[in-house]
Amino acid sequence: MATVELRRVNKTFGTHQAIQGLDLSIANGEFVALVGPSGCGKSTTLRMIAGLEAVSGGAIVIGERDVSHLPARDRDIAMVFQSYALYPHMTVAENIGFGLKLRGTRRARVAELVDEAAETLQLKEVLGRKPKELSGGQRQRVAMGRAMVRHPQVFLFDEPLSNLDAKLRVHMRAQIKKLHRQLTTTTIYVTHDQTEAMTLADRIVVMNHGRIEQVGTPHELYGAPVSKFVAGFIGSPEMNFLDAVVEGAAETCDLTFADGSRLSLGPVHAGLPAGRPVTLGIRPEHLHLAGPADPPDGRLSGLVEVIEPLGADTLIHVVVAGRTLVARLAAKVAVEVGDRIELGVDRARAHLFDPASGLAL
Amino acid sequence: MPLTPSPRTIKTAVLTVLAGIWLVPVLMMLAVALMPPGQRAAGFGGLAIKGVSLASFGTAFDRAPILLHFVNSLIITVTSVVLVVVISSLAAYAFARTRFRGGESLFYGLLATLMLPIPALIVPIFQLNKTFGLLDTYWGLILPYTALGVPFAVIIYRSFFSAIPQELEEAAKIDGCSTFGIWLRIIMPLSWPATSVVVIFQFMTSFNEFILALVTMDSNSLKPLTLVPLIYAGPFMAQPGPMFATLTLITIPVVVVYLLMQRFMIGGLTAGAVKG
Ligand SMILES: Nc1ncnc2c1ncn2[C@@H]1O[C@H](COP(=O)(O)OP(=O)(O)OP(=O)(O)O)[C@@H](O)[C@H]1O
Ligand SMILES: [Mg+2]
Repeated sequence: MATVELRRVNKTFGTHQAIQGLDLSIANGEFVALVGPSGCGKSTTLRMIAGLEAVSGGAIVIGERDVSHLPARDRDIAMVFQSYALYPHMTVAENIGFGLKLRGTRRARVAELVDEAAETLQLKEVLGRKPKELSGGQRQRVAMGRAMVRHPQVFLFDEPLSNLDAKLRVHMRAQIKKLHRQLTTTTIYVTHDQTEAMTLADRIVVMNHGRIEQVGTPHELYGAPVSKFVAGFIGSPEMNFLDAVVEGAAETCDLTFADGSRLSLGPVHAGLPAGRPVTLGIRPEHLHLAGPADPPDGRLSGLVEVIEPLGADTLIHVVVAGRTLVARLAAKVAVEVGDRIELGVDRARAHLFDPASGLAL
Repeated sequence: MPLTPSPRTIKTAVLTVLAGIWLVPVLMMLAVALMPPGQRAAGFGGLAIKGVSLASFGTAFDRAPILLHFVNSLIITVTSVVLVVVISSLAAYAFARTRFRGGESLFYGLLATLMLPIPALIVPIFQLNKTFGLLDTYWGLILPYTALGVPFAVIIYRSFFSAIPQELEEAAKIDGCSTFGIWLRIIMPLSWPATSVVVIFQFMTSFNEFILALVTMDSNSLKPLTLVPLIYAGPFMAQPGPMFATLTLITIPVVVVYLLMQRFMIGGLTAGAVKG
């Protein structure tokens, strides 16, 4: 176990700057998820920590050691690849024990440790098989076993579950969480699936264009996104965005939308000057069918376009001020496509962003 | 059921006919080798013989130290095969995985050497051997055979290596392998299909080579099997029986090596490495 620190890390491929001045401190035993859209540099960051990619600038420190220029094998890390990268010519047992063998561990001890890992990952019956004789889920577990068995300082995962079907993915997610609780090894986990990041990580790093957009606990990112980008990335279904202009008194923050309809956000968002353009952000779960408790100026009205029953709840697509908003409503909601409905807004949980910079106001 | 044969059937039929035609000289060789002594000539264009006898093989073994020449051939061939496999796979690994200044031109230079006909190289190689004092030694054949075999083998290995997923090597790197370790423990064990092609090809060309052996070797005791019919042409090879028996013996090791290696030629050895 160890801390991991990235200090102003840069990476350029030719003239393309893939990573720009990345600063990140990861505590001992912490589980950190790197998320972001495709091409934002998640894998590159992970591969630099692993030593598979050289840093173009800055330093990577694991524990107390600056490992920036050490080869991968001397960094005491283990990595699980998206493709698993199992050695096809070796049995499951040989795959798991390979790293130990190379480090000169005695054979009896290797067998012991491999057995122990196989036990934890339920691979005992397939230890003698070759990778091609395994199911996708078993291959994934072998890849995990190969990483676990060496008890490295840091685990690195690059989208380890993306090749599994949805059900198995949820199962393995729980397994990984359980393993991390047992082993408490510092873990850096790359995923583009925000649900995976939310459920697994102590802290999430949201990346965009080779930079860190925000670092925080799942709760912080969900509740207080620093930008429209983070707000849109965390949470599912995605946050709704509506462009508006601030009007009237500074204390109440009244918004006017493109079609002339209005919404008053109340004192929580007070202080914005009249005439200022803003982007309003509301999560689907912070919209509800308006009732008597909702004041007339705290509602949005629109036409129901699509109804998606999910069982536990229902997603309703409503056209408001020319934009389609998604609302998460109760399972048995009595609305039909084409209805005009009033949505109550949980105003304390609405977010405002600057339309130009995308930063939270 | 349609009566028109499938494309596959047609292909098999054509290949079978071609293989049959190809076999005719081989069968003639066997026929003459197995002909009982005293029979003047085989009938039916040399394919039909009356009775089978190993007498010609006996004559060959009696009159010439066949085994000695066989061992000479084996020493020369096996050494060159091993050298070609090691040198070519290391070079091909560098070509496939590293970018270095002049790498491309070096590779195309290597390709170009494939276009040189061997007879054109006899005199230069003879001169080289003479300069280095390699005439009439095993190395005088081993080194040229190796050098001539490397370009083809490098091409085979390079294309095979390029298809091995890079992530396997990265996993090995993290597990603790050096670059040499990756070549030894990951790349080579996965490359049996390529190695079998290289071994068969190199064994065949080295074992069957004649001209270079003829000009390099002086001492009869060092000469490979291919020179046997020539050395003993006077004493007994004038008779077709023992002559063709010797030729049959020369072909056997190549066939054996082919049969041993061909089971490794199956592709798909990397199946299951990556994803599912
Ligand atoms: N070897 C390379 N050579 C050149 N450019 C590269 C190389 N590897 C990555 N890049 C570029 O660096 C950027 C970041 O790539 P990276 O693989 O880290 O993205 P990612 O966040 O992992 O994306 P994904 O979610 O699709 O895996 C991309 O623009 C990519 O094209
Ligand atoms: Mg990636």
